Amino acid sequence: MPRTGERQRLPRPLVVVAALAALVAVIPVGYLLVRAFAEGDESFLSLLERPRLPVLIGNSLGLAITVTFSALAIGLPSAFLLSRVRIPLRAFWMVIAALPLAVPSYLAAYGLLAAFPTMQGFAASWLVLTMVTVPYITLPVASALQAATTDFEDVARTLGRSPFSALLSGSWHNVRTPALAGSLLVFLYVISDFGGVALFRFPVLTTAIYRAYGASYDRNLAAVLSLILITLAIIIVFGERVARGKDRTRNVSRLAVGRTRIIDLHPRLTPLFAVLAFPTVAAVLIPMTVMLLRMFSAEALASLDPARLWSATVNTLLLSLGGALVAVALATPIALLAARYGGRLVGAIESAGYLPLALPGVVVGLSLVFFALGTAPALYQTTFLLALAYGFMFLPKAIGGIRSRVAAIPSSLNDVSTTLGYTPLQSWRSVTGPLSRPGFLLGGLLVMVTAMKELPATLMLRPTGMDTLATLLWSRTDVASYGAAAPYALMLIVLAAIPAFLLSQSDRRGGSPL
Amino acid sequence: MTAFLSITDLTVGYGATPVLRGITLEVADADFTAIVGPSGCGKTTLLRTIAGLERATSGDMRLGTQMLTAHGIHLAPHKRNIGWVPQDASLFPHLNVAENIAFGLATSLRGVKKAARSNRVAELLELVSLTALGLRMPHELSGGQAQRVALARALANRPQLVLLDEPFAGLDPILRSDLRSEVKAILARAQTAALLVTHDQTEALSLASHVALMHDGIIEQAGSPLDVYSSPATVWCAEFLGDANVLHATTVQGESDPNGLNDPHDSALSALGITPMTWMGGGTQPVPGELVSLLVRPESLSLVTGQGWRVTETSFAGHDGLVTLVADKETPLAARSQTTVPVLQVLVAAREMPLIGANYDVKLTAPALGYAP
Repeated sequence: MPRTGERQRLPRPLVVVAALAALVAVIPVGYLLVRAFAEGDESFLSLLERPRLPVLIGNSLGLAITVTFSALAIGLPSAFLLSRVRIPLRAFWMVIAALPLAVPSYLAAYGLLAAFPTMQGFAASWLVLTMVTVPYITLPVASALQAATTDFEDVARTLGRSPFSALLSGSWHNVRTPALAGSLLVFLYVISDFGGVALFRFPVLTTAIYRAYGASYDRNLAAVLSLILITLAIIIVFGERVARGKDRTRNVSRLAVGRTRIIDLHPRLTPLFAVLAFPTVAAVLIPMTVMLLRMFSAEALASLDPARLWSATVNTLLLSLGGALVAVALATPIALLAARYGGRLVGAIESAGYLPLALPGVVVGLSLVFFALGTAPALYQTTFLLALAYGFMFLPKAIGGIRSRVAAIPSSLNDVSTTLGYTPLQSWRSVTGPLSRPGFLLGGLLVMVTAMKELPATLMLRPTGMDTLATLLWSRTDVASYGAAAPYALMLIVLAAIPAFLLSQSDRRGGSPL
Repeated sequence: MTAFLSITDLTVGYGATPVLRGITLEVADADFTAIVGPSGCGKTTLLRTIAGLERATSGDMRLGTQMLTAHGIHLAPHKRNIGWVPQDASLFPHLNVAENIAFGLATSLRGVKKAARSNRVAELLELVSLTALGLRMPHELSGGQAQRVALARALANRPQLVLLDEPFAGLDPILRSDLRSEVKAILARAQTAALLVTHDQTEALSLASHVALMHDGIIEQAGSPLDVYSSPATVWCAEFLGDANVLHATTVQGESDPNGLNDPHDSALSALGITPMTWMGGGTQPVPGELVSLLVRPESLSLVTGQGWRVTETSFAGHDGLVTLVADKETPLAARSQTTVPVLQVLVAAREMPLIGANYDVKLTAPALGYAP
């Protein structure tokens, strides 16, 4: 019997803990609000009247919109090629499609700058951000197309549609949801991006926030700009929710047998391989090759400091591990509640947990600076605060990983253990806990991978004198010493690749019915 | 014999719409009771409430000497010692067969692993004939094997009562009937009272010693399988348990009875002519001339030579077949008592299947049952 959330009584202790965790996720934004309206050199309203403001907003929005469309233009055909065409070496092409995910925008931008030092402004930012965000479209759409039945397309063909028109009408309802969700991620990525646009000297909201923060007399301006940025992000998040509407495919797909027909590779489809490979070539291969070449030039090798590389590597690992622990600790009660129960209260708590999705790293960094200075100045510029920032920023990833795993555990298993004499806590230790362990691992690893590459919040919150791979890489780009930065870039990619590899392995081993 | 499980005036609901209304049910010790009803009638909710997984809004429940629910106080589900066999077996995927069975013998994973090597588990494996499969993982089992493991797991703690929630629903038909008789034998050997929930009336009638018919959150009738089938309390019960012809009729004086032995009210005039009627509608017997619904099972009818009814459809089922007939308009019979053309279904032996279009008369071989219209 299907069990709806409202029917069940909520376990009070879990609700309280989850609500506290959600509150932690909301506090920094609250501080931002306080700061934005606080008395400063200029009032909130006069700050809004600055002439640069419309330009900054226009640049942020324009970049985000154009990148979203170009990512769709590349991602959708790539997804079709990966999922519906019989291609040789499919696993290899899957990796090619996913590779740009491993490269943070500032790294790709930096590598391209090393190759083409004249790249600058909107066009360069647009190119790099498109390349690194295409996988957000390609991967979910490809997996949706793969799982979806082609029966609807076959029906459309028998009703007289052409192959292309049948593809559109038969598969659009399967593609729509992942494409919209992917577009949302792309849009949020772009308006949050700091490193990529900063390197190409394209003025947007994030870079302006960072600059205003750096000029410490102007922190109210930084807070106001942050609020504008959050507002844009939240509008988009809600816009996506409205556009997505109710998922109507559910009932339909239950009726469908679920056969997916793969078409043979037609010569006319071969240009799609170029489309698929382009982001990886532009955002991964060219930057990496250039950096490798530069690194092995004599002066670069001479300036390499192994001790520094080692300590930055350790710092990066420990900080991201700390962030992962914080994220998992905050995410666990929220994810457990959301996976098992429904209703308005649970929905509100879960939404608060997903709030950081709409918060760019610059904003999180800034709000935690305000928070620390306002409540516990001793925390300011400590590793703890930075780990907290990571945990908080990437909380949604941890919630997602844990929640989906717990939700996949049938609630009847808990019913059985209850009837066999287990108290709720004993049930958790013997059933739900062991079965959801991979979810915790997955959530933690996802947070670690992302936290390693994080730049703006790290720059703002790190203890003085403490370097991570990302900050060292960043400080080298300032002086355009491309060769000197290369070892850090390579180490970063290697480090990020290890958890990514573990993730793919855990996916493959998941042979159990769960 | 006093009831072992006794449920009195139980109501379960969420918000304004109760799922169960005033359920009263008694189950004797070591008895096999089936609750049967269409999906959505609330039978699974009843089972979950007995297990303590849902809470009753009002009513009392007692099991043996233990109060489960009384005056709004509920015994926590993990203290009830009631076995639970869910529809999909719900074996713990991280434990092997022996550990699954041992789960109720401990309260921690370490304890379970130890208990898995105990004599009790060996005994249970033997009880469900799975001795060789103790080390298998759940995903390596067939559906029938999984259900037997789930049953052994539920029996491990020697519960006072085992609840079975449609345990045979997901299995293919041949396996299903084998497993049914096996489960019945296992429960008899374990001498445990069992309550089975099913939507399959054949399953309920063939397995249980006691059947409760559930419809829209209430129990319509409870009794032995023979009782509920041959004397259904309502037209709904009759139609749910098997094919039934329901005819418009009026009661008449018993003038058709030559011996005058029958109560004069126990006859009715319908498309079948004047036939004896056993009144099942409760309350006072209808006076002559009153409208009633007349219920006749297809197996209580037989075809005889005549012209009154025309065969419109036959459906052959191997050992026998169901014949659909309509009253033939040209005969005076059809003009009787009602405006719509009466339709009848008659069960006949396979070798007596008539041709479509042939005409017959229909003879009643057992008394028809009368209900309020």
